[in-house]
Amino acid sequence: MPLNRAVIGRSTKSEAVLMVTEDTLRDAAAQFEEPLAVYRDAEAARALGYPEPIAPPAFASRLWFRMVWAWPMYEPDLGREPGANLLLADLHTVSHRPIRLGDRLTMTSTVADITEISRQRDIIHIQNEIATEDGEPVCSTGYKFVISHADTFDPAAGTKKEALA
Amino acid sequence: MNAKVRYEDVSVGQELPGKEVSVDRLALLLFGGQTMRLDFAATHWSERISRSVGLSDVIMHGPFTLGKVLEIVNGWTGDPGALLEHRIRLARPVPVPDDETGAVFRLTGTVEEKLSGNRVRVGVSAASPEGQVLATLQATVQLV
Repeated sequence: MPLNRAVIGRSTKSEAVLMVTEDTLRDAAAQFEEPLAVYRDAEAARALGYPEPIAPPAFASRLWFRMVWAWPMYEPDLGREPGANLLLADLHTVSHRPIRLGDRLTMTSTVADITEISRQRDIIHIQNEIATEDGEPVCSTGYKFVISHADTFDPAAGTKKEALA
Repeated sequence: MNAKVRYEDVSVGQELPGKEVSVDRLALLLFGGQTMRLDFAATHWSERISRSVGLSDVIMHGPFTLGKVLEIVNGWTGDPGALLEHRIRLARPVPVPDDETGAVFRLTGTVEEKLSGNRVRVGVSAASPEGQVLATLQATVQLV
């Protein structure tokens, strides 16, 4: 069954502010071999011109799961059947400045578009604006997921808020 | 921002230093819990469920693939904050077999365009050791 196009344009905002602590940055960089010092060392950060250590650039792409619980994937109104499979196909990030230690972040997510590509498949475009609590824009992330409406088990069950909270 | 690469030293068609990165099953599990906090979609940890939906094995999280692919760009500029914009297209799910190496990405990158304001656009391809394209990335970075 195709998704409900009436949700296009709807938005939600993160309930809690995400505080970027030293722990947040350490965890964000843990699985990467990138130059690491700028993520944890204030002096290395200052040498590159940043007032505080910064987050790895791919960190922003994880915040949709963490801050709005993958909204609107579990909204009944979306019309996604429990068995429908999700596959991330395209991820676009625009940075106004790096996320850094001490940031207090909020996220606003909007359903930008839903495109039916066949009877079995839709593409949903979700656009997220990440800003400080005071309203300074930090970055935006856009996700395009292919949703296939055929399967019987929900492989995304482990991302549900209820399962993890 | 203070990339170690100078705009005037860069030419279109120039290749970024190539890089090979791998992700084993433990790294995948740690990413889901520690870094992603918390993405435990079953296709990232259960072979049984992955196979039941037509995958050959458990698969990478898209944002994890993105982070690994960006290593070639950040390694080149030396300044992750120099990345102004990036877009990754994930060509196919990336299986992470439970063996000694896991998933392997061969990263190659090229300077595609010189832009105003000391910015450049780079293109990156991530391929499996067999040469199958797993993802492509375009990024705009701020050089000095």
